[in-house]
Amino acid sequence: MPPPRRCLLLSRRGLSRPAALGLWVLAGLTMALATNDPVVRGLVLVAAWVLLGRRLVPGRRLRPLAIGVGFLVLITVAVNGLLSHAGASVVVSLPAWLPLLGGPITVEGFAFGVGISLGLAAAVSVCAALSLVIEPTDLADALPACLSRTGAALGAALNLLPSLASSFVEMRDTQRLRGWRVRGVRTLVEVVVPVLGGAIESSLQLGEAMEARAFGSGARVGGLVAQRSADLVVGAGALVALSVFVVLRVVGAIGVWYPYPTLGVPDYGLAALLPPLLLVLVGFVVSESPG
Amino acid sequence: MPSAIIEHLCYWYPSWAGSAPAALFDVNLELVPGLTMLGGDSGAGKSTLLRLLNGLVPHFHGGRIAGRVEVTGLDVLTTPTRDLARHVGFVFQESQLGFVRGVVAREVAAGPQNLGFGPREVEAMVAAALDRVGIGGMGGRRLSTLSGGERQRVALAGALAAAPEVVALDEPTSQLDEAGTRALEAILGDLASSGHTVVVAEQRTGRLGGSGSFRLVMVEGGQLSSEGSPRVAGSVAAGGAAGPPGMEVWALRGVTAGIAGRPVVPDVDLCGCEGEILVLTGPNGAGKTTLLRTIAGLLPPIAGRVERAPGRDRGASRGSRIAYLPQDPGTLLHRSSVLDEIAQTLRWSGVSDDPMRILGQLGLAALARRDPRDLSGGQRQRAALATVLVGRPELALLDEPTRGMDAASRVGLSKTLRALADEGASVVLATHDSELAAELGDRVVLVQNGRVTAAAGPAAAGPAVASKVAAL
Repeated sequence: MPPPRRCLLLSRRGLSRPAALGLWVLAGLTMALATNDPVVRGLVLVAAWVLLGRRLVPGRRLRPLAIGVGFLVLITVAVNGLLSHAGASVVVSLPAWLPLLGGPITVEGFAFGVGISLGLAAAVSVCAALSLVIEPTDLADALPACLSRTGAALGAALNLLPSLASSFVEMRDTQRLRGWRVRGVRTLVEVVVPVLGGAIESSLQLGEAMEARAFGSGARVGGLVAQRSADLVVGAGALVALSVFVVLRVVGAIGVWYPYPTLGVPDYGLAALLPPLLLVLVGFVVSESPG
Repeated sequence: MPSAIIEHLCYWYPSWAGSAPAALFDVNLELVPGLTMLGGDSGAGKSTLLRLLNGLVPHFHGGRIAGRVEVTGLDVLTTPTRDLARHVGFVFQESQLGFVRGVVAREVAAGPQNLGFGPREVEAMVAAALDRVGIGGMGGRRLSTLSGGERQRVALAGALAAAPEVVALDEPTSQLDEAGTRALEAILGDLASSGHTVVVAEQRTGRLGGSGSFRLVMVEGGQLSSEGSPRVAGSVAAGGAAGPPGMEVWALRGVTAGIAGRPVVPDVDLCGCEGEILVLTGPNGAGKTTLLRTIAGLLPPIAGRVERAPGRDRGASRGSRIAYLPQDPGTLLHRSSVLDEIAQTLRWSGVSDDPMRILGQLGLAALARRDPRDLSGGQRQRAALATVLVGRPELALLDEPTRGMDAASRVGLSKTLRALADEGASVVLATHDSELAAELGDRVVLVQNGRVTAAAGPAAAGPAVASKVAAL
C-alpha cells in the first residue's frame, strides 16, 4: 500500500459544516417556536432566507419553498382573521347565520394570524436549510459514530427523494414522445406508478450495492468530516445566540405577545432583538458547500 | 492457489410463476490471480456468476442453490455478503445507483468505514485507491459534477479501497468512451499483474482485449461453454447509405444547448435529413445527450432555434412522431410484458404496425411475453429500442443504443436502423461506440470539450471514425 497521504482536510474532532449548520437551525427553530413575538419571528425568517439565498446547493430551487411558505402564511392569516371573532377593532361584522364566519371580523384577529404564520414560516424556512444548504448525505456523514448506520440508511433514503422528482420529469418526457398525453387522473397514473416502481427498483439496487460494501458489518467508525474556521464561527455564534435567547426568555426580557383585546406594540428592550440579529449575522459566515 | 472454486453449482432465482429455468447450471470454475473475462450474450448468466463471488447470489437475491462455492477460503453459501466484502470488491453495471455519499472521497471511504477501519487508515486507503484509478485530485469533488467515466472510476476506487484479493466488475465499459476504456484496461492490467484476481463480465470482450494476457470464459445459457480467445464484436456491416439523403427533417440553427440556463454545447449549426444516419460521438460528458434532447424538443435551446420540417404525407402506417431512447431503458419498461409495452406505444401514438416485426428484427420474438424486469441488461436495452422504434417513426433519436448489447444484437440493431433510414427516417445516434459510428454512420460529428468540431484526430474518435467525421 502506498504511504498514507491526506486527500482532504479530514478530522473527527471539531465542528463540521453540517454540525455547525445543525446548531444554527436548532437556534433558529427555538427562537421561532419558543416565543410568539412577531418581530423576533420575523427576524428569524429573514435570517433563514438570507442564508438560503446565499448558500443554496447548486441544482436546488427556492421557488417551491417560497410558494409553500407563502401559501401557509395566507391560509393561517385568513383562517385566524375570519374565525377568531375576538378583539376591539372591528373591521366588518358578518351575519350571525353564516356558519363559522358569522360575527365580528377584527384587526386583532388578523394580527394574531400574522404572528402565528410568521412563526410557522420561520420554522419551516429554518429547517429547509438542512436540505437546501447542505446535501442530506453530508448531514448523515456528520452524525456521531453510534448513529452512523442510521445515518447511512437515512442518507440513502434521502437520496431517493431528489431522484424521484428527476425520474418523474425524465419519464414524463420519454412517455410524451411515445404519444402519451395528460387526459385526466387516469393518464397521470400511467407515469406516477412507473416512477414509484422505478424508485423501488432503484432502492433494491442501492441495497445490493450497500450490502456488497459491507454495510452492517462489524464496528463501524464515524464519518470523516471536513472542518473550516467558518464552521467554528457559525457553530459558536449559533450557540451564543441560543444561550442569550434562552436567558432573556427565562428572565422575561422576551415576553409573550398577545394582541387581544386591543392591538399593541410588543413591550421589550432592544436586547431582545440581539439573538435573532446574531442569527442573521452568523448566516453570512456560513461557508459554501464543498466540492 | 485458486482464489475462487466453484463446483457443480446450480442456481435458480426466486420465481412467482412456478418453475423457472436455472440461471446457472452445473458450473465448474477455478479462478486464479490474473485477469479473467466472462464473455457471452445477454442473459447468459454472466452477472449472476459474478454475484456468486461476493454472495449477493444467493444471500441478497434469494432463490435455490446447489453445489459448492469457495472464495478466498470462505464458503460463500454460509458466509454473509458483508463479511465477504472484505475479500471481494464489486463494481456494478449501473455503478452510480449504488452511491450513498455526495463527495468522491467520502463515497470511496464508505466500504472501509463499514469494515471498521480507523479514520487514519481509511484516509490512507481512500488516497491510495483514488491514485490507483487515476483520480487522485478529485477527492473533494461532488459526484453530481462528474462524467459517466469519472463516476465509473469512483466506483472502482470504492471497490478497491479495502484492498480486496478479488475484484469483480459487471460490464465496466458499457458507459465508457474510448479513452475511458483504455484507462480502465490499464488499471485492470495493473491489478492483475499485482496479484489480484480480477473477474470482468463483458459482452464485448474485444473492448478490453489490450489488457495483456487474460483468460476468457464463455457463458451460454447458464453454463460455461468454452474457454478461448476473445471474440471480436460481430461485424455490423449493414452497408452505407442507400443513396443521397433526402429532405431536411430537423435542424439546429445557431443553437446553444444546455441545461437550466447553463450552456453545454454553444453555437451549433447541424441538420439531419431523410434516409440519413447521423452519429454524435465523443468522450463522456461532452454534451451528446444534451444535443439529442435539444433536437427532441425536451430541452429548450438557450439561444438559436430548433426546426422540425412540417409534417408530410407519409401514408397511414407511417408515424410522424419522434422515437427517443434515453440512456436508462428502465424509464420505458413498466408493463407486464415486452409485447404490452410495444402495444402501448402504438395505442398512444395512434399508429398501426405489427409488434412482432420489430421484435423479430431485434431478436426478441422469443421474449415477447416476458416481463421486462426479468430480462438481462442487454435484453432490456433491446426491448426499450423495440418500444420506441415500433411504428416507423420519422425521426429516431437514440442515446447509447448498444449499451450492454452482445455482438449478435448489435448486428440486429444496425440492420433495423439502416432499414428505418432506407424507409426515409432520419436517425441520430449518440454513442461512444466507435465501431458502430464508423460502420453505420453516414455522417459522424465529434462533440468534444463542449464544441461540435469539424475535424477529429484518430486518438479522439478512433481511426475508423476519423475518416467519416463530417465537415460542418
